[in-house]
Amino acid sequence: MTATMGFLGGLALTVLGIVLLRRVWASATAPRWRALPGWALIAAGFAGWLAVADADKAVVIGFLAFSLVGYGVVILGRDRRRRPHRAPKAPVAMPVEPGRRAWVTFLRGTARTLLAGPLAAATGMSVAALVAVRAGGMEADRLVAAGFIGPIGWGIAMTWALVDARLARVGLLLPLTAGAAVAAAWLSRV
Amino acid sequence: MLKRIAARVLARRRADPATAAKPGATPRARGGVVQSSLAGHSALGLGLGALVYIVCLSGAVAVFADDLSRWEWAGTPETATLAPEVVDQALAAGLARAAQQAGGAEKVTGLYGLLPRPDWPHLAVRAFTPAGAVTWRAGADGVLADTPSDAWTDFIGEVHMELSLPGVWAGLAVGTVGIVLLSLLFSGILAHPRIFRDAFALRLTGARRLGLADLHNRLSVWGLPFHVAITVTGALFALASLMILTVAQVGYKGDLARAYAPLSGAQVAADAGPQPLPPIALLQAQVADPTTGAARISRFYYVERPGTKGQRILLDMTRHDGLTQGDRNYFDGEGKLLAPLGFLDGPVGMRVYGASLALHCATYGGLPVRLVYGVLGLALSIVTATGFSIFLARRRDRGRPLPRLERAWAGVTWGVPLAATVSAAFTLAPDLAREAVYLWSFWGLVAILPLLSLAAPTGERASRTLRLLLGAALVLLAGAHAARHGTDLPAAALVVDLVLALAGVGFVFSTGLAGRRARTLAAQANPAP
Repeated sequence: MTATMGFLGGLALTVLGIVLLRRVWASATAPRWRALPGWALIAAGFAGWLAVADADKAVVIGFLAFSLVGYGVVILGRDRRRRPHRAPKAPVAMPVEPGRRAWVTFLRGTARTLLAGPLAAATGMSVAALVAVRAGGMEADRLVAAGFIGPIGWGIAMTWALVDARLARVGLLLPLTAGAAVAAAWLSRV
Repeated sequence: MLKRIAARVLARRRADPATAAKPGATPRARGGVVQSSLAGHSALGLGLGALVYIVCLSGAVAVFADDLSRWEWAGTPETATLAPEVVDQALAAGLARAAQQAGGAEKVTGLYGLLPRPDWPHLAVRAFTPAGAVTWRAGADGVLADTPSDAWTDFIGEVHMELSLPGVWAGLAVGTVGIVLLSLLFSGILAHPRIFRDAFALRLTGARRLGLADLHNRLSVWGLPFHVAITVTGALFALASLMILTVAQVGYKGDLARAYAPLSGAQVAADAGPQPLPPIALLQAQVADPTTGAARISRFYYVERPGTKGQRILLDMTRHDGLTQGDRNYFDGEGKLLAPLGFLDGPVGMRVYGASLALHCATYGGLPVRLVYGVLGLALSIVTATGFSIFLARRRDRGRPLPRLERAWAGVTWGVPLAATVSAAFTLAPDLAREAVYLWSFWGLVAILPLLSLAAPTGERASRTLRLLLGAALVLLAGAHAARHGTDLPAAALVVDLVLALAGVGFVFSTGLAGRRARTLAAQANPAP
């Protein structure tokens, strides 16, 4: 009975919260803080999920419900106006890029690929190795923490290498971070 | 009061020379980040979009491994429980057969038992030898079938986890795909400055590019918590070996076993002296009692160096109803409990590791959670496919279309599910239900269909043709499966057949060859006078 009430309560609060967010975000002039009650209702929904399952499982179920309800509200509120399926009347003009020689573009592309690929990987792995070897706590805790830090660090480094216009900055900081991490881990090896 | 504070902050900002000297600097900088994020997002998606799509789609299918396996094994009678003695006999029989085939018990490196449970009411025994793995299914009486079998469900799982690559390359490839997906999620957020304001806009009836962009952005924004969690945990598992290797080199003077020790459980010294497998009931009796309301089920059993005094036994056993359902318990050669791995009561790291496994594999909530994972996993696959299509539509809108790439991408998008369906059809022919057949049919079609699509006049035509073929293949597969098993078809397999058939009909209708859209297309082709 408690679980059923918790399920219904969690679901209802999540739906209400998302519907409230929709109303606020539909208005171009509404200030940002007006979205807070919506987020508060969604957060309160987690209390309902706690009645359904243990805390770890309840949090995951809450997030799953958030995504599903979000999809549902988006689909129900989709724009149903009939518009003709047609291509643009005229091709959209390409933005003018600053003049750059082809070989410079090629070199920058190659450098960016190397930075976002192997160097970002080396940085993520090095920082993860440093945590696994040198961070405090039990070995198992350090290894698992490193297991998360490695992919996340690699992903962030890859994103940075792809997004930053100043390749030299990325090219300097990524190897420096990787080198410093490996050196620090190496010094404390067992 | 609040107004007064806000006025003071505004006055301070106006007086601050750092901000005042560069009017408009922040929006310009933000605009630059958005543009470069979009460029990076596109480059990454174009570079590895097809592999990301294959991993995502196969993952969305693999989450239903239990259900698909019941569909695949529909001809084998189901049994949710078997007496422990019957399981013991099946495991011993599997070990004896593997030893005979490999030319000696010492050549059998591992023995794996997939044990019956309500979600998967079957028993299977798999033995690992230098020649490879061999699996025997058991009937409802627990007696192993005479001939070994390869499961298509396992093959799809391997596509998801290894992209069918060998050894360390598998982890590296899938791990890289995971990192790329994570980076795509990050850069996607950076490239979308109105991520919240636009969170509900879905316009599918207008221009194609606008519809695709709305679908791409809405599916990714609302699925973001799931997509990030699944991507991070997936990359963690895929890159685990590579990371342990790095840690061993950097911190443990290359000692891999030392680096891996905290995660590998209690060890048993190798001893080649003969020793029978201990009774499973003896192992289960030593595992701590479950928490209130939790089931006590063993999902699998694994023995290293089976049949020797130095055998190390791992028995999975559920005893909790949280995110982490059970633990991996290690036993020595005589069946004495050494220690659990610690998924439930161990160090924080081990508990997080166990929870991550459950979170990624959806082992914690039964069919409802698997269905939600299916929806969100499919959403991630659609996000990947539409991302590439948006790039192509943008090129077309700018007057620089890439017609060959448009056709080839249609071949990837619809070719992958079609290849999976065709490979699954071989499960219906016992002589062809072999891993090599699944492998060649799946990857062969994945490679050939984009090339064949180049022969289509347009990308849209290639897409429609492949959707028609996919729909027909799904309906045929479901029909042939139901016809083959007739009245013996278990309810779970029947439901899978119905879902496949309905999906197939949906794909056929989506091509416009039937239903209202066909009439609209016909009217457009032959306008009324």
